[in-house]
Amino acid sequence: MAGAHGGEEGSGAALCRRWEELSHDLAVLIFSRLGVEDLIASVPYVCKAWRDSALDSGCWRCPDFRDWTSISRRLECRRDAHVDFADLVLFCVSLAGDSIDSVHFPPFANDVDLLFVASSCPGLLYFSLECSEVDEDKFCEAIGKIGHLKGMAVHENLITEKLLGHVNRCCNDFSELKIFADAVDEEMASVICECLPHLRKLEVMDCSLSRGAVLKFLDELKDLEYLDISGYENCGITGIVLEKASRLKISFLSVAPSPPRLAVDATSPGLVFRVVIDWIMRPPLRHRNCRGRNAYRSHSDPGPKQQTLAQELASTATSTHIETSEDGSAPTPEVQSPGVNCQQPENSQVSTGRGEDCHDLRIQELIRENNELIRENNELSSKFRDLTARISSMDDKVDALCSAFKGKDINAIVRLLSIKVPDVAQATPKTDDPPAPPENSDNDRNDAHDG
Amino acid sequence: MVGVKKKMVTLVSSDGVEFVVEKRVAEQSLFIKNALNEGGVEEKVMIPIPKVTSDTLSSVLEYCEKHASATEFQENEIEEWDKEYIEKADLDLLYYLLQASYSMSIMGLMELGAKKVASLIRGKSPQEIRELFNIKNDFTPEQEEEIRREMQWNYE
Repeated sequence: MAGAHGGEEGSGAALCRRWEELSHDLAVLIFSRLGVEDLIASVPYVCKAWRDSALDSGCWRCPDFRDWTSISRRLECRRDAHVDFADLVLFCVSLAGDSIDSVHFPPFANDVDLLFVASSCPGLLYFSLECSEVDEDKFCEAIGKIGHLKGMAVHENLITEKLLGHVNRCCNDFSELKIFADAVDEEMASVICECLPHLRKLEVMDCSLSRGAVLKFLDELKDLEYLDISGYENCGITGIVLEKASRLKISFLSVAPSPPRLAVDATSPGLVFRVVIDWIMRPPLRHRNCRGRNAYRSHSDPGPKQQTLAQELASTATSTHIETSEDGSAPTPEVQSPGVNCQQPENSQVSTGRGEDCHDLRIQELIRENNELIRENNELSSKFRDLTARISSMDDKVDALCSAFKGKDINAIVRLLSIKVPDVAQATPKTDDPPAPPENSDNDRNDAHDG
Repeated sequence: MVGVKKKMVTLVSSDGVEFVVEKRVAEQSLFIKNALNEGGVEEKVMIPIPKVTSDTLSSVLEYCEKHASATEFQENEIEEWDKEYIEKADLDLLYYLLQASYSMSIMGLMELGAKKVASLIRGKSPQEIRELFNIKNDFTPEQEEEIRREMQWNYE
């Protein structure tokens, strides 16, 4: 359908040095993504057009000083960091025409720097201040000057009723909070929920969180759309947490030790399912090292893999049943039987062989064979022990999942998991009733040994 | 090729090549979306895209096609795709993509291109930037001195 109408201009007219002819708006869009060090030390010296663009206030609206080491190296700072930083901020403010939108302060910056920026830029929308020791009065004074503030990132020491309450009173549009913290407990969570009930976005990354805190956020922050608790390693993400989190637009719940961040989207609950599956199928601690991140990734492959996992999940319920009946201490004789069956006939042959000297070679061969079988048997039983260990670790998780499913009809569950494969839809309800038909446990046993 | 239900539009590049695409793909460009709205609902729409050559337009439409069906993919899949897409564009194409996304008002592509160019500039000296982007230094030494004064941020 596409037909050329003879290109008079030619498709790729080779223009010389076109990058300096970049339109001003585009140049500003590009330069606004650069650091102040590039805007000061490089860009203006490239050519006249770039210099003009670099002086546009639009390039200076979101200065980020977090990587102070490389900034001070590029700009050849020689004085005390506080002095240099104060000058640099003043310079940025002058170029931004007092209309800085956001500031990411360097690690050493404190309440004095915040107060300075707040006084110079009343339209500030966001700031990030890692500093742990902040004068409360100065902080409050600064907040009082920036009534349009929409979000901030602060140290956990600043999560107090006084400070957050002040933020809530001064800033009507405040809706984003990020906390630099080692640990967030339920108490801190309730301070946040009480003082900032209208939060839409909350980031509490790479810290230890109590499950109560997570639930509190999900229960009490009614406007919450975005929750990032990635790096949260406690095994507190239960079915209930996932269920409650499913109302969020975007959330990052991490469940693996070095986690790829997983977006859980309310519009595609299939993802929630994958998180649940990953988490259930995650082996107990001592196996985790050999599986690692790749194994985790492979689970997110769509298609048949997901089906297998779901089947495995279904069979988990049955294997759990067997396991608990034997107290988990030793493999049941029944289950071990395939290995034993192979072994015993050989043993009897060996004993008969000893009576006949002329069959020495045959005997040795049989002994070798027998040893091999014994080793194989040992291997299998150790594998079995590993599997039972895994199964017992799945037990609790399955319970959590069951409780999340309890009281829902099949359609609701299927909708929750958003499974397209019909097999899975059939398999899922099985997790709801642990007692399993005996033929299923047979299959499961074979699977265990094949694996 | 002719979709029974799908509404198609024809885009004409500056060098006269026609591209027939689904309306929803073309509407990734706000410029085209507005043009279509103004013109009412018509069957055989021809929209000239000035200043965008066929090479660039085909790459732009590749982007639009992916993003028109973005809901079918997970967010990180789109991100990965974007990354690969912009990674394989050379500097020339990158320039034309930026200009095209600007004139056609395709915000996502504009952001993507700007991010890529910024990553190429970051940390480089003025001379390194000029060499990479083939830019001529059009300053006299006096003018350079003036910039130094202009960019004097520390008041020692």
